[in-house]
Amino acid sequence: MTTQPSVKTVTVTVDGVSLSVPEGTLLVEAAKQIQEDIPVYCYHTKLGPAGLCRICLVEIEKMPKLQIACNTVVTDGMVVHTASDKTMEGRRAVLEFLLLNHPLDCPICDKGGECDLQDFSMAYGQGASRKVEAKVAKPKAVDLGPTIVLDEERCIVCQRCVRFDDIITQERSLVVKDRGHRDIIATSTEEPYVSDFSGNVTELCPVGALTSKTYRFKSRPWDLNRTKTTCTQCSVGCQLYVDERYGDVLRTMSVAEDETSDGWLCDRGRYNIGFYNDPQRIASPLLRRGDEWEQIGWDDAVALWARQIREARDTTGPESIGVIGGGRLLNEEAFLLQHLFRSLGVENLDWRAGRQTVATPVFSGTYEELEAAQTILVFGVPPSQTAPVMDLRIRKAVVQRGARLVTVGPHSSGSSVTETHVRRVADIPSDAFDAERIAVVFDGIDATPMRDLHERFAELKRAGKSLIGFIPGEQPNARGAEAMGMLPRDGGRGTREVFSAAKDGGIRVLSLFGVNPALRFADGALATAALERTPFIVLSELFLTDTARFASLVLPAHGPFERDGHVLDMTGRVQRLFAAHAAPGGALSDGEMLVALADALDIEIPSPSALTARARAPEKRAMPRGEIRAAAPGGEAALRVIIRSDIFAGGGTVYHDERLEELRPRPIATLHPRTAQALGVAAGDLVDVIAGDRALRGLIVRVADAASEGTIRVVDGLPGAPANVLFDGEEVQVTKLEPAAPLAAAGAVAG
Amino acid sequence: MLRAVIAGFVAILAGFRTTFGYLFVKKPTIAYPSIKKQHAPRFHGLHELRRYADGKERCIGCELCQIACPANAIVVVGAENTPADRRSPGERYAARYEIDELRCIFCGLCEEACPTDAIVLTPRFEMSDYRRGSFVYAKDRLLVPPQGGVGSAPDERPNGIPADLGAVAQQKSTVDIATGYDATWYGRALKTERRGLAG
Amino acid sequence: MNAVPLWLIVVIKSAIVLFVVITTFAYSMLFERKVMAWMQLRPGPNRVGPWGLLQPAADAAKMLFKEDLTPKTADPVIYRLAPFIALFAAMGTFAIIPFSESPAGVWSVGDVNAGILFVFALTSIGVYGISLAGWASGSKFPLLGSVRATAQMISYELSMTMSVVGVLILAGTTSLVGIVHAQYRLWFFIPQLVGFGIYLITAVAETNRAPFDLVEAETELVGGFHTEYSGLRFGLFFIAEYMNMITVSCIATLLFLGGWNAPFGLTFIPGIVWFLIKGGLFLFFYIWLRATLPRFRYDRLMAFGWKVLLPVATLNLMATAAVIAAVR
Ligand code: SF4
Ligand code: SF4
Ligand code: SF4
Ligand code: SF4
Ligand code: FES
Repeated sequence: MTTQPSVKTVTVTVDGVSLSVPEGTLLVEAAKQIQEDIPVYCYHTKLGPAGLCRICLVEIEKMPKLQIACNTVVTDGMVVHTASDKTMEGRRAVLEFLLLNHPLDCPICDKGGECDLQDFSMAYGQGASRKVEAKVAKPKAVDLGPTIVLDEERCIVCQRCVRFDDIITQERSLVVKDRGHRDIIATSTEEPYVSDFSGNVTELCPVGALTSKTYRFKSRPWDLNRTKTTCTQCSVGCQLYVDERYGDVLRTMSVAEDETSDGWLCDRGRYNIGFYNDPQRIASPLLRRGDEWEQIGWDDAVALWARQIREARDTTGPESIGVIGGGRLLNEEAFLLQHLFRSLGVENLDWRAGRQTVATPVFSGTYEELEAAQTILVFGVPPSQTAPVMDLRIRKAVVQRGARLVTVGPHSSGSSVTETHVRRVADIPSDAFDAERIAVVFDGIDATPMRDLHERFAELKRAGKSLIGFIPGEQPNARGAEAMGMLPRDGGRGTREVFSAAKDGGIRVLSLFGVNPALRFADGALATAALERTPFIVLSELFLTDTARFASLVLPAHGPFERDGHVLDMTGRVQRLFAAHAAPGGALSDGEMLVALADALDIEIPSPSALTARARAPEKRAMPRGEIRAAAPGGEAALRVIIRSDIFAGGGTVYHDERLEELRPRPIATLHPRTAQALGVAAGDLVDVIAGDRALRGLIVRVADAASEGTIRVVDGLPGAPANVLFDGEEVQVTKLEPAAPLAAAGAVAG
Repeated sequence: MLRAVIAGFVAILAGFRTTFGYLFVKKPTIAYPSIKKQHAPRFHGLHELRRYADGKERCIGCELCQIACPANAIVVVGAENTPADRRSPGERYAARYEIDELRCIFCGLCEEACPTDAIVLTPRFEMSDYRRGSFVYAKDRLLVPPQGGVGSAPDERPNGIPADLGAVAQQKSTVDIATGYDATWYGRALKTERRGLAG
Repeated sequence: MNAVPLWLIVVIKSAIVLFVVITTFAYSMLFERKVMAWMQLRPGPNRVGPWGLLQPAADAAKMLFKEDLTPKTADPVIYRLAPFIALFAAMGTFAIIPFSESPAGVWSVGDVNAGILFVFALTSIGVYGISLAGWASGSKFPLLGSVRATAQMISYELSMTMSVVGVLILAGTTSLVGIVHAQYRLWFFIPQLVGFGIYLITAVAETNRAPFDLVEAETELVGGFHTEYSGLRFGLFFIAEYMNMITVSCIATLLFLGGWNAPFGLTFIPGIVWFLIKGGLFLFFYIWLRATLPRFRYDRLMAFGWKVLLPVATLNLMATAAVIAAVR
């Protein structure tokens, strides 16, 4: 805590050391200045004091009793003893109470080895119990939700979990039920505990009461090899620890002092780790032979690739070669990719493979600035499903700092904080722009609102206001790819034009890097047609995705925790990745593939150090502004489709992670009750959603008040139900399928 | 010079006397394997994973033996019991349990660490084999077979003889439990030496 | 008797001697292993047959059936030939060794009047076997072993010969039978005590036995000259070594211990028994030596041979010659 001139400081003596701290500082925080660790259970820096556990007792002179350090504000002249005999005696007594009914199943407890109850019992406990009566038995191994197991006996009722759910996520489903020795943790509604941030409670819980299902009994903390790296599941760029044992990524843990994540992780980043050793992962280059895949060696694969590229360039020219990818690559790899193909004269380079069309905002800001904004304008798909940890910042800004949240477009925020939701740009309350610090969060898909507000923003900027923008995109390193030059220049064609050309047979060789346009590209029909017509497609992937159906050559790549290098997060900060897991023997990183290709094509590439320098210092240049979508056709009374995102959607890592089975979204169509009634469908029905000759088939109807009337919401990126066959906002018809009875139950569960 | 030569000769002759004398000393060799030596009561030999009387495994896969092992000889990976497949009484059991007996130094710390008395060291020591890999004992060889009872804790076998080894071991005991290794020549030498020190 | 041609007699005699010597070799090996074991507080071989008596047969079977390897870098012809040279030299000496005497004649394959010279000639050839084996193996350790063998042989043969010449001066003949006859009254180890000591030491060195077994010194040279040998060929070296032991034991008996002459007038015991007892004592001494003394360091071995043994042997020879000259 830094001393600011405007704040009065007070002087307090802790264990004989005199400290100057700002007025209002909690004693437990003040003591940290001299590395005096006062034990805490219920107190947490980000959750604040609760005064429940009493382990933090300290002796304060002139006070008759021991005081809790976590909820005592320092005053001038206070003299504190944190290790006096009286304090120790107090802690011993508190621990004896905490352990009265504690099961002490440390040998089978997942927290054993990193448990505060163990540690403090060793430090301050009395060693033996005086209790002779039987302990109170409570439910063990309670299935709290899809991700969490709860052991009620181990809970010391510090309520950190409850307060996290209340203060940080604002979801408020966890509560303490009953009182006294019968108290248990449960959800208020008796429903399963479902949250996109549920994993954080397992870290907050000071004991082994809340544990992750994915990590249950897998290992012990002392066995784990820990690596600190960056999460690349979305564009936030959270730091995290990856814990690996015997070649298996077993768990990830947040980094408490990380500025990017604020110390939290979302469940996608935390739990999507079970795919690394999936048997379906590609282990060697695959060459298509009719309907079969033939395993070939790397030398042959690269030679074939190089030959195809050379032939295409020499016969039909570099315009007949296309490259899509970069949003999942490292900066180094993205740079190498564009360098290699530009050296061949190819300008058809683009990272855009989904619905997102722009990644670099005009005015960048940091997450801390977002937290300090007074008005937060969110356009399009809400960040709760594309950049969840960033959404926690928004919630924090709204709830703890009193910011105003305005969501614009068909989607509301998707979280439970207070918001103003308007459909059109014109409806944005004009006083929203009165604030001094304004943050704009834009999904990067349809730039129409940005064009409409361009004048307004310029005005605000001229008025000297703080205006910052964020684009929480679909791909983790889209901003890095843009900065590294993975964009068409000098008459090159972007993804959409490449696909249009390919549809007419204008593309001979298409190289795809970690992208899945068949499932994700905004115009699914166009992508499919283009991929079908392209004679030679090379795909670098972990799994045989929907796009692999069209590929001639599939190259096994390295997964997120298997890479070493740099990426840019959505704020433009350079983040470092360290490999935490050894990739399977047959796989090469995208960078290694490119080096091999450059060798085969005799292209000179930058040295590794030059490459790293590039990756760490992206060049600044004007970025395109994103695509303007034509308004979708259809009348006023039409039923319009809204495509929504889900953090657990996707055809790659989530789809092949068996530990996430329960979390993957089902193919659901969400309707407002009145709309459902008008269409004559009920919850659990199976429907087809049809637009012209295109159809999205076999969706389960869900009815929810939160949905807007006259819309049907579907989830993007589900293999088997690719929502990209439809256009966002397009007019559709719905037909009901018979019979739907057996699936009704599934619909209810999925709801 | 001459003195040194003579002293050298005398030393050599003394050596000759010693070796010659040994010709007539009773040899301490035990004719293993036809005669086996009885072990000290807490002899540390091959490991065994015990069971409870109801047949459930005692081991709960807690990995405490693994971390206690100074030789890094143990690998434990836990897993969860399911109602359909219940291996141990609690929630957790050892899905994988391996001891590399070549690494093991037979210190018995794993036995000390085990909270459920699951892993014990038996007096069995005959485990020679032809391949290194065959010294990694997994559950199939460590766990007492279901028909094999529960296994015995060290304090349940005062003479250090498991039932199936007893017959051979008792043919000739070279160790007297009460007095120690008296019956061997080396033991006698040690004893003499000790007596000399004491007296 | 005249009906039997001379060559047949020689063949029969050779066959008998060979059989006896080979059996002796086999059991002297067992004898060595047993005695060594007892001296080291072990029971020794006791698994094959009663008290391990069939151990030599088992060893022979093992030697025969083991694979015979020739290293890639070896000189194949010489490599294969070397063991035979060693064995030939070792066996050849038995042709002239007289074991006893009866009124019908001397018990030997052939009595040569310059027998002692023949013996020395043959044992010198034996070292060729070792040197060639080490050189032809084509690897380092055997080469070192064979170089050592050569050096050791040269260093110690000189002293040995000088110690023997003392005996020859006393006996006035080079025929082995003659030498034995000359000891009818006084065994030569009494007048030639120094010579006898020198002979004992050099004989051990000549046969490359502990503590002079630097040629095979397994702690330094793996197996010395026979590192690369296996199976039958290794067996031949093995046989040669023991044959040499037996030979030098016999020679010592003949030159210094009066051959088959009975001591203290105990003539009712046949001469051959005395011969065997005396030879056996030598063998036992060899084994005892091996069980007692550690191996020499190489430089000490050389220094001892040249700086101690040779001068002492020379002085002894000169003294003997002087005394004999004075007496005559
Ligand atoms: S919560 Fe802590 S003290 Fe309690 S059983 Fe688990 S490890 Fe042991
Ligand atoms: S479950 Fe854990 S975090 Fe929640 S109240 Fe209990 S001990 Fe605290
Ligand atoms: S006896 Fe000692 S070395 Fe062997 S497994 Fe047990 S703890 Fe490890
Ligand atoms: S043998 Fe004992 S200490 Fe080792 S894992 Fe099993 S229960 Fe734990
Ligand atoms: S930490 Fe202070 S009362 Fe819990």
